[in-house]
Amino acid sequence: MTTSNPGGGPFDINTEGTASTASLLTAVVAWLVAVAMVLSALGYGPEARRVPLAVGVPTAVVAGVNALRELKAYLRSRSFVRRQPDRNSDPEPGTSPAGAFAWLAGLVLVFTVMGYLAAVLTFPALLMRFYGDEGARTIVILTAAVASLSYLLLVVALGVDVHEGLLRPVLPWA
Amino acid sequence: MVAMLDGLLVVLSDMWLFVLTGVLVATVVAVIPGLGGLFALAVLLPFAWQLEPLAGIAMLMGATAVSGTANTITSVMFGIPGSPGGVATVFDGHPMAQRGEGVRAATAGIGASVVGALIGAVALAAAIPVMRPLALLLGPSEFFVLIVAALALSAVMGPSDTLKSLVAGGLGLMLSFVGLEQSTATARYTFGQLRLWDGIPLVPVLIGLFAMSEMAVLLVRGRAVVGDGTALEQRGQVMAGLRDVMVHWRTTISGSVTGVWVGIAPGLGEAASQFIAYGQAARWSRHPERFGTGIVEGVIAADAATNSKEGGALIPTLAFGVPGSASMAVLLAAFMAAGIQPGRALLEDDVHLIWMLIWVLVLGNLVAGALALLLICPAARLTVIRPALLVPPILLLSVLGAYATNGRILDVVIAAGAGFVGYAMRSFDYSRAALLIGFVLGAELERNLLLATRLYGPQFILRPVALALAMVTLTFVLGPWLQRTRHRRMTSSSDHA
Repeated sequence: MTTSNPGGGPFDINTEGTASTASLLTAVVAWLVAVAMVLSALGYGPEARRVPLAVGVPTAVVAGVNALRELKAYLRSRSFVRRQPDRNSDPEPGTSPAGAFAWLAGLVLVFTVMGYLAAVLTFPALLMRFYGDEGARTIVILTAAVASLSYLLLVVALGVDVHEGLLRPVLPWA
Repeated sequence: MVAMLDGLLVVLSDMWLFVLTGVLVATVVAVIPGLGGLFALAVLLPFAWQLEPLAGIAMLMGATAVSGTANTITSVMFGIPGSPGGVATVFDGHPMAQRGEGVRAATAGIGASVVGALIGAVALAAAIPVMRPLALLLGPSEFFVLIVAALALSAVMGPSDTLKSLVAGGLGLMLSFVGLEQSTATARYTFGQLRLWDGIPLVPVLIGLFAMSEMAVLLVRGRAVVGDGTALEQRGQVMAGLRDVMVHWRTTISGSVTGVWVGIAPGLGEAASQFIAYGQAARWSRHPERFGTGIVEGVIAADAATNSKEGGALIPTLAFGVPGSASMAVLLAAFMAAGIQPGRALLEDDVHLIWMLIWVLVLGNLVAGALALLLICPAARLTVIRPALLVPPILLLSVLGAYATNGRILDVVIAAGAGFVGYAMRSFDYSRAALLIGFVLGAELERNLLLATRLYGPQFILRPVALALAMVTLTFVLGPWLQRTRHRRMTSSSDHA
């Protein structure tokens, strides 16, 4: 099995001929989604379910074969790892995939609840400070640049109605 | 002739600013390793949606047309392809850079890209008279087969694992069925949510799959892709590189023509076009043994194919509404959003639009070529920006872009979900392009299948043209598989011996 691994961490499946738990989990989830969609399609009328079934059944079969293949690779990799417990792997200097998506979830949460202005003023600053360990000058300059450029591009140039969230009552332009 | 001039006038008078924006964004993005043309499209698409339909299409086309041009810089200077379409450039370009001929190699590659794009545009223009009768020959049965072919070929020929790509394509199709079914008004996979009746929106999915997931990768990696950029300080080899393109004109033209052919075949993609052109140049060369050691012909052959492919790929996209690649799928979605239906109607009523796209291909590439030559050194410095500085503006722009399309918070959540899915797919070798092609083509597949079965019954597949297309597709799909099986058998038998 050939796999690319940009991230490392729990998604690290560089080792030739082995697979990780996450890889197996992904294959199983893909199969479950396909099966669930096929089962849901059975509840629709004959015309509405024809194509979803025509596509869904072969997709579920292929996804099942893929999941089995991943399981086989996973089982093989476990015995391989047991035999070679001292294998080294280079840790990535960044964050874990969970950490990366925690940052993304944080951004989505701030944007959803507090709106564009809060997101544009806090997210770059926090990421630069706590992820990148950047200095105060860099943080202030880049945050100001991102805020003003995005405002000019979205609000002034394109006239996009940006989301104001809970800050709406206190914003003079809202 | 009138349509040709009309197209040129539209580009020069009303659209030049949008084309230039697309070209600029794609050129800058292409310099950052890993962020190819699709990333540029993902960033631009929400803003293109806000513009007049033609302006939006011009901007996206400008970005698509030049995505392979600036790619050459990182492939040559650092040995890191900006996207799959820059891999073959590395073989000879990077050894040249290590010898101190980096600027010459990059200039030759950029020059070949521009010539290739022009040849691609000529091919597209020449295909217009042929496309019309071809489009008239095809009905729902044939379109159904063509769509299945595009999906199957993108899975089999693409760089990702075949089985996983088939799963991705199938799931992409299934996701396209979310929403209200047209003929019976049945709500499918909506979980009672009225917001899902219109289906899953394309823009957030695209932003998540290709922009957010790449930013997550950068955060995880935690370091700039390249070192200090000292290799960029050399200048003065520009003329030598441009001369190389002219001296090796046979390689330039054959690479370009190969790119056009590969572009026409759905699913083969930019990486395949480069590899095929590179292999062909090595076969026809007087000194094939020097390929891979730092020979300028290798760079020229690979890069000529990169951009000429776009002209070829536009042929099936415009004539049949069947995109051969993920970027063409995005363009197709933009056409449909603008109310332009590719195929018969486009070829009969809107030929000036096709000419507009051809002119965007030509002018966009001339501008991008000049820009790339001017910006070789400064633009490549983007590659040394730390993730902590690069990620925040791009992630913010992605979130704002996902929201801006429809002004719905749900779209931001969908984009974040697609970002997670895209990251997992990228990590475990599932083709994101196959998923996107399936997602964009799902509605057309369903419409054509229902129409074909209503018109001809289940034996619609036996109609001559549909059957011929199915056979050709099967040959392409099974060919590589049979070849691999035979190779495996031969290897195992020689091992036993």
